[in-house]
Amino acid sequence: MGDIPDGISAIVDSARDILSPRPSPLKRRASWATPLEELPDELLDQIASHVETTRDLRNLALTSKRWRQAAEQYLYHHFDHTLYTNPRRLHGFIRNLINHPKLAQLVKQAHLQDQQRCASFWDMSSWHIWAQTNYDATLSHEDCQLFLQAAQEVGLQTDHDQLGNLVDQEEAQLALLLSRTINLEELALTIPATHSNRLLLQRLRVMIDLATGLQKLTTFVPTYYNFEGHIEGGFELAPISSIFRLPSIRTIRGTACLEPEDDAFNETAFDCPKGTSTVTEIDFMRSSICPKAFKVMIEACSALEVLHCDWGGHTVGWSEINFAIIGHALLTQKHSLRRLTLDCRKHYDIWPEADEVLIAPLGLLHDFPHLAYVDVPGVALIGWDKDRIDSYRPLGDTLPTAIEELRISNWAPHLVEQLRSMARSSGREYKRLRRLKVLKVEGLELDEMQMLFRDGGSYVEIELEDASELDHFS
Amino acid sequence: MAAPESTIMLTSSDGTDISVERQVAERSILIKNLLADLPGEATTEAIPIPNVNEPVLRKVIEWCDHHKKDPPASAEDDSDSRKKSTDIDEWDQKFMQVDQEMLFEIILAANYLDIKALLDVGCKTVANMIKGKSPDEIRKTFNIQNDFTPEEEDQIRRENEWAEDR
Repeated sequence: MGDIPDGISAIVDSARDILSPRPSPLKRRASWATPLEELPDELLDQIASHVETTRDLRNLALTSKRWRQAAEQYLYHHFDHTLYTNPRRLHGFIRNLINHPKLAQLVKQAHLQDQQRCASFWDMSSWHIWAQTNYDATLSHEDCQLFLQAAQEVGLQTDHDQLGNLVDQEEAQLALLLSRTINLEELALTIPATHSNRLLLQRLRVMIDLATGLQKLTTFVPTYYNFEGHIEGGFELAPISSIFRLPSIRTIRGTACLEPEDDAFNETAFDCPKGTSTVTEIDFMRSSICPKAFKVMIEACSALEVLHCDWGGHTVGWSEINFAIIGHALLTQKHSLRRLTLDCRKHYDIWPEADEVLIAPLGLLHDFPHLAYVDVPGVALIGWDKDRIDSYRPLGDTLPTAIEELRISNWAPHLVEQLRSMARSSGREYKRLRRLKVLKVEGLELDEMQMLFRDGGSYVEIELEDASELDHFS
Repeated sequence: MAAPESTIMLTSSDGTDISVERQVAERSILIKNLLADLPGEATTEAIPIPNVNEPVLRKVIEWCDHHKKDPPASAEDDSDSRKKSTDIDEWDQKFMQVDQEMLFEIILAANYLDIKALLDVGCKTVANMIKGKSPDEIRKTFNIQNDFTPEEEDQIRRENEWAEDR
């Protein structure tokens, strides 16, 4: 090794300082010693973070004081509970949260599901038969005093009233739980057909009005489940509208939710004022949400970034999707919207149907400055006017200039010719477009489209999608 | 400025110099950041790793060498505070078949050298050793001293009763 100039040697010295011995890792010791206990707390915590089941975490917490500290961080991170099956377990959990507020602060996620998720029951009557002898949510005398006092502290009504009785109703007890978990970030709820306007949602609304709970909730995941044979009823938006008013809420992610009819939708029951919600992402999977319901949700937001709906489920076949209502509402989110997906592929196989004369499109997306991803049916973009009285804008004029990825599901009349002319000007109008996925239809050839886009001055990866492969039941 | 050397020298806590491919050593964020701050010439100097002894350092280098082509962990992975999967790939499983002392030395070294993927594999290995065991069996496995009084233990057991069924 040659001489190193002074400056560099100083840098090497400083490197040595950076690497200089911290407290020695493991002391040399006899072979019977306990290396695990010499790990710093931070690493105990890391190990506990990889322990998956609550049973293992519970057992780990029982081994020693240090491990208890590490394991409880994760044991209380997530609470998963099936209603109407094991109220004692719920009582035990709530009792702990009341007695140890520090544990309550650890809870970040709560997944509360109905008994229909439980393999033991297949319909309400099978549950009722079981419940007659097995189900009792009445609090023990000791818990009763503790719970009532805790509920009083946060202003939850405690007497038996229309909101249910804390003493023997599990949903009222769940509301108490949610008033204790002040750091809760994610709440997943299943909403059964049998209580579409359920007690828990009413309780949550009171809690939100009083700002006594859910103040740090960022993600709300409602899921609607049917027992076999119950297809009526459904998830209603109004009971969850208060969620939109929470101060930290960002994401609403629904599954199998139903608000199927514009005509039956009560706009005034959705009580979040326009432009006030912090929600940035609205996402409904396998759901049937009517455009008017979307309108109130979209307009409630102050800066919506992602709107995603996959129409599916029982009622999808007959409800009509009025794109113009959604498009008009989206104008209020023009400056924030980044991704738009309206997946109607399970809605109609061929659409528009022969007897439809007029389908209005979403309208101009052209000057949405950040809208980079669009996945919608062809008619949502170019509309359909059988009599050509009032022609809608062509595809080439309506897409957002920021578009990077375009997916056109569902065929529309004139779609192929409009794609051709859009391709010709793509290099000028849509400089950022990189991916295009279109439903395979007659007259649309991959080679030709690739050539047209190339001639139009843009390089676009094109994929033709085979609709026959669509799984209508997933 | 000279091109970066393709091999560098590391000195273990017990004074052994180990030559290692730069790309391999850079799986350690600590070493990577250090090399980035050094001018090219200085990387010919051996870098002292005062917290890690030779057998452990060689073992860590063996892991880094096998994983030198892995893509760097994305920020998204880091943000997921609750890591769910205890799956460990086959090579790593074999790699981790070492005595407990070595296992914890590897975890400490991975933490010190800032090699997140190795730290995760080490912690997952320990988590798998905890899986399905009673508190007593966990204590025996890791020789953990029970510092609870019987009353305390009983109370914790009752408090966490809700967690037994899943």
